[in-house]
Amino acid sequence: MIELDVSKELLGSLGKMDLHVKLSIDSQSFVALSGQSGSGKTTLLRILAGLESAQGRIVVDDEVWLDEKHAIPPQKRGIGFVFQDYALFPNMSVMENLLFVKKDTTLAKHLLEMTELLELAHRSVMSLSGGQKQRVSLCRAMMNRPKLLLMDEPLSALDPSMRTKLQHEILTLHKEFETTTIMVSHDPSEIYRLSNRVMVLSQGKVIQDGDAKDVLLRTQGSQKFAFEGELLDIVKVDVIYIAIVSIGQQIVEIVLDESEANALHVGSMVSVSTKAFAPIIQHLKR
Amino acid sequence: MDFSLIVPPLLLSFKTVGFSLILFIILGIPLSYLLSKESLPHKWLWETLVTIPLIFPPIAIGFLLLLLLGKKGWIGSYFYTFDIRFIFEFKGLVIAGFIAGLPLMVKPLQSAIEAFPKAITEAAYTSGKSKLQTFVWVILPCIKSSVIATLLIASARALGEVGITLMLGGNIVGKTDTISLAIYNAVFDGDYDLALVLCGVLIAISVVVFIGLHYFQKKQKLV
Repeated sequence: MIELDVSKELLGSLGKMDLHVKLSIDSQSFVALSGQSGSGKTTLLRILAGLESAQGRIVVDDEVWLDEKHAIPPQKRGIGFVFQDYALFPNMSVMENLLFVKKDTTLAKHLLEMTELLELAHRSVMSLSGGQKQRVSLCRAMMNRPKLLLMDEPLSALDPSMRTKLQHEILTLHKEFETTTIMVSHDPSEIYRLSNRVMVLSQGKVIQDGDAKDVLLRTQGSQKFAFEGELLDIVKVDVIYIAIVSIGQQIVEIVLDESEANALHVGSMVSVSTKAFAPIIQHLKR
Repeated sequence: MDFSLIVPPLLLSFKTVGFSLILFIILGIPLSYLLSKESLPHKWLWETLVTIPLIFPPIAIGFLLLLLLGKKGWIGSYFYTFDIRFIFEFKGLVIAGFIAGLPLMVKPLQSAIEAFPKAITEAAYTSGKSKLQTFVWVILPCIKSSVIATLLIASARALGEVGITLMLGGNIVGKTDTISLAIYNAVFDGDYDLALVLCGVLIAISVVVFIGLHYFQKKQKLV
């Protein structure tokens, strides 16, 4: 169980901002931390790790990590931290990176086996691909059998197929070690697949807190489905108007009448939804 | 050619550089680490003190050190009670070489430590490693080439030291005349041939240092 009530003044891109977060997290849960950049997610993670100072209180399993009088250093917190840019020790091999944390060859071999890295154990980490590096970083973070695993956008630098593979591995590790995990992520599919609780941060405050489905589902009322996107253009064709909207990696066209076209502004964020018919879902061949 | 005029100053220089090198390693490396810390109190003062020998004339530094380390000096008088003397002694030569070479080592090494990726040191901290363990086992091995290159430059500077050495060592022939001073003495005595030979020896050493520097700077890649 993690009890947290911390505050810190931050200097963000929009000037001064107060990060104030109060929450409790159950043991063994997997929490996803989401929100726009500059909302304080990474800072919150770093405060938990002890890499950044803050006012307030952090108690983990009856052990006080932070209060008014003292803060225990990151070395003594028993955490695992996975950085966005891997942060492996470049002077060591894959195996040495793990053993540097703890001289436990059995655990190191087991972790490398789980992440299909055992064959690369003696390779220099500098020669690995991004996905392999992040797997090493994940294994390294587990070497201390941490009470709390913190991950700062661990998969954001990887391509989609490697992401899916790593999500699976993170989930396997989470199931086996039952480590309480907090992960910063922007990717809805990743959040849905991995977490059992999602918190959305904005301007240093938690604005949404619930399970992945409640937080991520963007439909309202009787809508069958709804997508958010950016309105790129409105084109007049004869008597109708066509709105061009960018949704995810795709561009879609939506027919508008004149009054709808007048009410919308190019460049703004819009919601595209439908009620009347059932959408068709098909397998994509690639 | 009388080798007895070449070999002893050369050996003395090597011995001086050798001891300076030991001081660079055991004092210079930790000093670079301390100066790389943003939270170091009076950081500007320490940085200025280390950098002074680069800017201030060596003869003047030598004179100030003479006052400081002399029998009646602030530091010298203390050591004198234990019968330890620095002036006109081999120890004086080592101190001269060390002080002259120190800024050439500490400043670049400090930059290399400061430029080391913060995330990697933090990864070591969150892995339970202390600051010292992180420095010794992660940072130093990663900036190995910088360490060797700066040691090489500092040692080369110690080898060529004249001003401070003259003041602290006294240029006593057969005792504190390093190879650079031996050149000065040879020219002073009108023995240009000897001076040329000694210069030749220094040129040979410099070439070796340059090749070494080139090798280590090429090898040095950013993490």
